[in-house]
Amino acid sequence: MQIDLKDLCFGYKDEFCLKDISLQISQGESIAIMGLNGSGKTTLLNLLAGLIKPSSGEVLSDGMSIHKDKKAIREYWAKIGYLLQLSERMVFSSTVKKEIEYSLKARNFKKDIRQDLISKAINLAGVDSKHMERHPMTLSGGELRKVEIASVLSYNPELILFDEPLAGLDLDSRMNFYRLLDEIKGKCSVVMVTHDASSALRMNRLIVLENGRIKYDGDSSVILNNDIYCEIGIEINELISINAILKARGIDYEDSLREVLNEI
Amino acid sequence: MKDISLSVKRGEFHVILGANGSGKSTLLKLLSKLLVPDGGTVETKGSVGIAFQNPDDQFVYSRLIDDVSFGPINNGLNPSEISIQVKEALSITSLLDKENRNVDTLSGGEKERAALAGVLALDPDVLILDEVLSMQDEKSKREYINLLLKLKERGKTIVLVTHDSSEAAYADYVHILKEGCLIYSGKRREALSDIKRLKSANIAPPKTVLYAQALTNRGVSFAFIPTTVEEFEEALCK
Amino acid sequence: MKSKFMPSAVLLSYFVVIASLIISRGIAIKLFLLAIILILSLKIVGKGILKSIRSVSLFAIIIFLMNAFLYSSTNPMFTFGIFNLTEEGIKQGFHVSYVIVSISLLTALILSYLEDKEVADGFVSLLYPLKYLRLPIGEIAMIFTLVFRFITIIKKESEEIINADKIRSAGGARAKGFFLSILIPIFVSSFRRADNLSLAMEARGYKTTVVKRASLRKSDYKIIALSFAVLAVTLSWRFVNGT
Repeated sequence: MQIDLKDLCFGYKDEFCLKDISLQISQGESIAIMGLNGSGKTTLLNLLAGLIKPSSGEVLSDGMSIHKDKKAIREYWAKIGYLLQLSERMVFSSTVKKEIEYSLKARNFKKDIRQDLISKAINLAGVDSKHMERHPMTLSGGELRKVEIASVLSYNPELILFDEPLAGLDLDSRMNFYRLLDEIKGKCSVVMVTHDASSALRMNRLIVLENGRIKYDGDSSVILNNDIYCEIGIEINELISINAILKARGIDYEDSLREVLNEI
Repeated sequence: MKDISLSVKRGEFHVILGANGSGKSTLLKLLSKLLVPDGGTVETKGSVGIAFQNPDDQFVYSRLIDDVSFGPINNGLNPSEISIQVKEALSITSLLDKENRNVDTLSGGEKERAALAGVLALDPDVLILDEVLSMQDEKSKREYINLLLKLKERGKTIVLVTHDSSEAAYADYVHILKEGCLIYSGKRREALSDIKRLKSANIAPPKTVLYAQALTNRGVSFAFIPTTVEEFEEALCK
Repeated sequence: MKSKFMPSAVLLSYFVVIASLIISRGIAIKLFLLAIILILSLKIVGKGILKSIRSVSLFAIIIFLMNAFLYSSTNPMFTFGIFNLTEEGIKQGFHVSYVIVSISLLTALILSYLEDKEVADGFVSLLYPLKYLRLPIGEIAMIFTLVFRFITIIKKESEEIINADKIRSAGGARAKGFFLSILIPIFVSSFRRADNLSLAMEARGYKTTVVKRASLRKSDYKIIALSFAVLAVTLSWRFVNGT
């Protein structure tokens, strides 16, 4: 599935949240979206998810506008997955199994295939099979999150959207998430809003938003190049400051930096 | 939770580090006397103020100045005292110009500071903070920590409970919780520089420390393991 | 926006005007009262306030029609099956829908003008005497205040829940916005929030709501007097017209 955003704008009257956004997402790409709070990251993600309509411009999926009619948006939604931040409370079914199965039922997967897809999904997401018959509300936050992930993975979406997936996660959960990313990266397109350099580096492409416009759209390895990273205008964080110190002393740091960002 | 002994002296900034499930929420409730221990005692000298993770769950009134005055009003202060405390709390959290705003119109970082202002209005001696930084972006986190350091200068004692080791970068002392037990209690530098110990407690070591380690492995020498940017500069040998 | 008037005075005037609206008889006085309210609303809040009474107005129209056509009377003007168009029905329907719309508009005005804390404090001050009957008016007022907070939060949360579900169900939506299906997640999260909030309130020293008597100023007595004057005019109009 190829997604095209053409001259998108989103906002009210004089206050535009996003302006002149044009970009293409090809099948299998992994993209990190970074920017300060208020730069329009979540709005862009919601536009990609088809949850909001642009004020002007189009969102195209394989050449067709996803908002053309009800059928079009439903077909689009059937092919994508969206993992929101802190979405743990948003479950409706009485058992974990039913919750995961729901996305499959909604996409008309036949009963005999469903069980197989569910097993694969819970393996990938790390859901404990003992939880399958339990009520989702009885699970801890972390466990519920895994169920959410399994629900999204079960139907093999062509595009998965993540909103700050690492927020509040401890070390093990971070590592598990990275493992998950490795598994799904080739199979579907991934768009992830984040402000964590480590997770951004694991994506191939980086888009930086500033005041609703795209400031940078290119290779994510630019994170390792301090000068360019500074210029892009992402908030000066401790790593950037440290890199500046190291550079001033003529210390070569790229390898170490890459190692650190890959480690956690 | 077993055999926890720790002491916090006036004016110190302590961080309790623990992954989810390590017992940090329980410890926090015990410290703030919201829970009674089965064995042992919790002694506090001075008044305690607590701020929690989600600011939306702490606001009572919609207008900021009303909400901040909730504490003083409930403690029977007279109107002029209330006014002074409220202004002071809003001033130190840099929210004075927003005092008539609806709390729902504030940004994430501003909301956390607003929740803290509500606690500061009672001028507590000790501040116990539960994961107050986890929902904020880099910039707001830095502003909040600067605020905490300012409060420390004014003599307040601060205890921050979190799972993120980078939030402990400016603390005096760090305590590491693992499965209900304190596996380390001591000065910040020693606590944060032992990468293995942090990882065993399911805590991601601060990037600064990992960075220094990676550089050391490549021949760069450090006088000590730095935990902040300032220390980095200092620790690099000539 | 800080009120120039004490909340209890505003609330008292509010209730007196509501009483006037209810006892008003005759189109002239009704329009007069509504005009006052509209002018105040547009002046204090602006055109936006009309949006907030849209759904209520729809409801009021339905009530009007129901009264007009289903009121049992001896002398219908027009009959069609069970529907009788009667003069009494029209009058009654008009009165009821008028009351609904004008009270809604007035309430929207008051809620925009007063902060939630002022509404709570105002109520508590007004009902001050009831305190001696051991009624927990402080706590009830606090409950109303917190309802204001929770309405905003729950509205935002329901939007999030519905959005999250739109994609999961590929547009089929378990949570099409139907009240019942999102009830459980909202319920659970409200409990959690209430729990957290009560903890935070306790930590800030809340034991019970402080109930104080309001001290009124000249301007407050003025608006109370004004509202009673309106009530008097409405009453006398009724007598003059023999109703």
